[in-house]
Amino acid sequence: MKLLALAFLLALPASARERGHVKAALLSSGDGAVLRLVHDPHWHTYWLNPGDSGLATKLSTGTIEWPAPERIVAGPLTSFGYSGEVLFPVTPNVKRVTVAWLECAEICIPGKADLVAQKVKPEMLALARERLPRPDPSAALGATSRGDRIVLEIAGRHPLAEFFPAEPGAFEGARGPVAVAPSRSELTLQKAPGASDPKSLSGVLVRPGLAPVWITVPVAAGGAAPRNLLLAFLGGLLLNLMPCVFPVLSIKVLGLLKASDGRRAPHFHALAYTAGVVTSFLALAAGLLAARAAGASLGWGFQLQSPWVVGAMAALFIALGLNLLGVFEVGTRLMSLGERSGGGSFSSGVFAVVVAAPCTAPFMGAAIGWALGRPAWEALAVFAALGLGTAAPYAVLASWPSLLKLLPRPGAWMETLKKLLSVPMFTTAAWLLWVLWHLVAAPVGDNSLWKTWSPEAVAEARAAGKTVFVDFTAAWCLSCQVNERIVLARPEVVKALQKGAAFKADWTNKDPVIEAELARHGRAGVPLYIVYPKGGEAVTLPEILTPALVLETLGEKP
Amino acid sequence: MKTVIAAVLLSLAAAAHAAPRLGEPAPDFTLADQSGKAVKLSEAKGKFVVLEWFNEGCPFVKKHYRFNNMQGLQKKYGNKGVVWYSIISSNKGKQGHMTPAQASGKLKTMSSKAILLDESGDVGRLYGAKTTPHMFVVDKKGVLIYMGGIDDTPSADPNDIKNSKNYVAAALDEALAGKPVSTPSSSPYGCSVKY
Repeated sequence: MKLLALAFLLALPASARERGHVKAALLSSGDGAVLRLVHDPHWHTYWLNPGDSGLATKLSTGTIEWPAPERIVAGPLTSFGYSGEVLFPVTPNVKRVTVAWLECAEICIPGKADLVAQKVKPEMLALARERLPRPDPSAALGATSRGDRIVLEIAGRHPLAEFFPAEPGAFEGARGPVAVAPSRSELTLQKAPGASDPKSLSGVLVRPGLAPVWITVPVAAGGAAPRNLLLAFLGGLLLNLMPCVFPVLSIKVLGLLKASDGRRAPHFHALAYTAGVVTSFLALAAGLLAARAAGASLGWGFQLQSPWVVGAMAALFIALGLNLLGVFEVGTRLMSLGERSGGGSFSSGVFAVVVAAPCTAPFMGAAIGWALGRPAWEALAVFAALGLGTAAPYAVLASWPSLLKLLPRPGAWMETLKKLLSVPMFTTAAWLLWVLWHLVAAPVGDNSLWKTWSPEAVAEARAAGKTVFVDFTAAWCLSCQVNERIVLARPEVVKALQKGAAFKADWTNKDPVIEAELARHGRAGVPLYIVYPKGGEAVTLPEILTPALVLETLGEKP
Repeated sequence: MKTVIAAVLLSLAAAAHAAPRLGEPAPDFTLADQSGKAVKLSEAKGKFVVLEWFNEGCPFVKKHYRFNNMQGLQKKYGNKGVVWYSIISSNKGKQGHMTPAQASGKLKTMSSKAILLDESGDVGRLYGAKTTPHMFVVDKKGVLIYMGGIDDTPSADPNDIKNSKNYVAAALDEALAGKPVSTPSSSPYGCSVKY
């Protein structure tokens, strides 16, 4: 608006060349030239990388300097270009030029004009130059190749940041999801099919409230970086403390205590147990990857989307709990299968994964979902690391029985501990029964605030000019429940949500539409929170919400 | 566990992937041609196939049709046994959309084997067709060997054709001679497909 007003004040000569839906003029003052394009409403021309379709504006002589473009969305296609009035500095200071462009609204028309420079005041040039993106090496922190995506990491929290890659044809035009953390943000770029892996990434970064900047960063090969494998290993270690696994592991360790005198080939048992754990994790992952490659609508947590599996798991955990209470003794054989043979140790590893599986979904669903989005071998490597981590504590104790001496001597306390350990077992069973109830009962219906999600409902609400919040959730997803209870249910958050439209996409049961939407945002599981600001593009929030973050993204003062 | 076993079995049964990938089977589809006949891509197995995304009103398409550049390619490779389909993914009411009768008339000015009508845009989306023209070449085994632009000069000016390298012709020449395609992909240019 300011630009338009200023241009008006500069009293542009009326002889500017005109054709079709875009007016072109060459403006010049003592020290430079500017190409001025004025687009009719709904018409646009293109940036140096036109995006999914289109053609960059060209000069017969001289070079165009490009201000930051905007995204132009037409159905599934997104182009990079300009609308309204745009000033392009031209170097060198040409007096006469032929400019060719492609103007498109619904349809496209090539445009061309032979322009002779018109004198303007130097302010016009200064204004045009001022708006050019400037190189800013500090804005971008790095870029990593991740399968068919590249993740660009930028400094600061910018949920509305947009990046325009300069290389034509290398990336899909559509704006990818943005993930924000307190001091940095991650922008996802989808590689175009058939495009080769770029060694570096350059383009224009646009952050609301800040001047657009040019950034160039090298692209690091993603791969299963050691850091990710280490994280998976630590995740596996942590899994041992989960209510599903801890009691089982404890019983096995108690078993070791009892039999610690003169056992044979401890390393062999440790290895067999580890092999059992890793093989089971790999089998689960391979099955899931294969099913997804075949187009099946599955994400991590899928094991909790079948009432039969959940029912069986609940029964198993009740049995384990009763067993620990000493009500009956059958389960002990299961849990201490490893005492006799290598095959026994292997199957007790398998058993550990079976009981761990329900816990992986709520606690590690997001991380595992991320791994599943990577190339197959990489995802499998992450799962193998997860398995090694899960197996490590028992394997270490079994391999070096001397470590057991650090534990208290066997005695009556073991029976008490067993009884105590039945508590997490029953808790897990109760949770599974709650999930089962949600699976078989009808999904939670509409209430005053949360409406049932559908792409059409979201499109309608956005068209009505509302800020839209979407909560992708599932009854079995613990972090979802936590977020909903301690953040989304807070009065100030509810108040903010009520000003717009709030939708809940319940993925407790399998749902191909929700699955597809998750995939579109680069996710294989819940939770996923998306905010569509009024008239803006989608913003993805992190998996762990805070009230301040939600309020800020909704455009409220926290 | 049962879910997983079922999933693995399912994957063994499935043949094609969803998105088009070079070196992998081209996604199969069935579309009605200008005469209403159902055309299935996989029925052309044993022959090379060219898929050309087409919109008669688009200046980039006009660039290649005005002086018979595209028709020439259609004829030349048609004579060598290549099956050439021109696909219209324009939605009803959008530029380039054609009824079967209009397409029958249009085909007389072209040398494609058929014009395939994809009003819903499903096949366009299946292939990720972005522009008109957007070109795909499928080999005799049904494997995708080229995807991208018609040539290396993004412009709407027919005078540029003589100085351009035509990627589709190059891919077909190499593939017909049993050689690997040296430029298997390029970025497509043109008008957006009018989904």
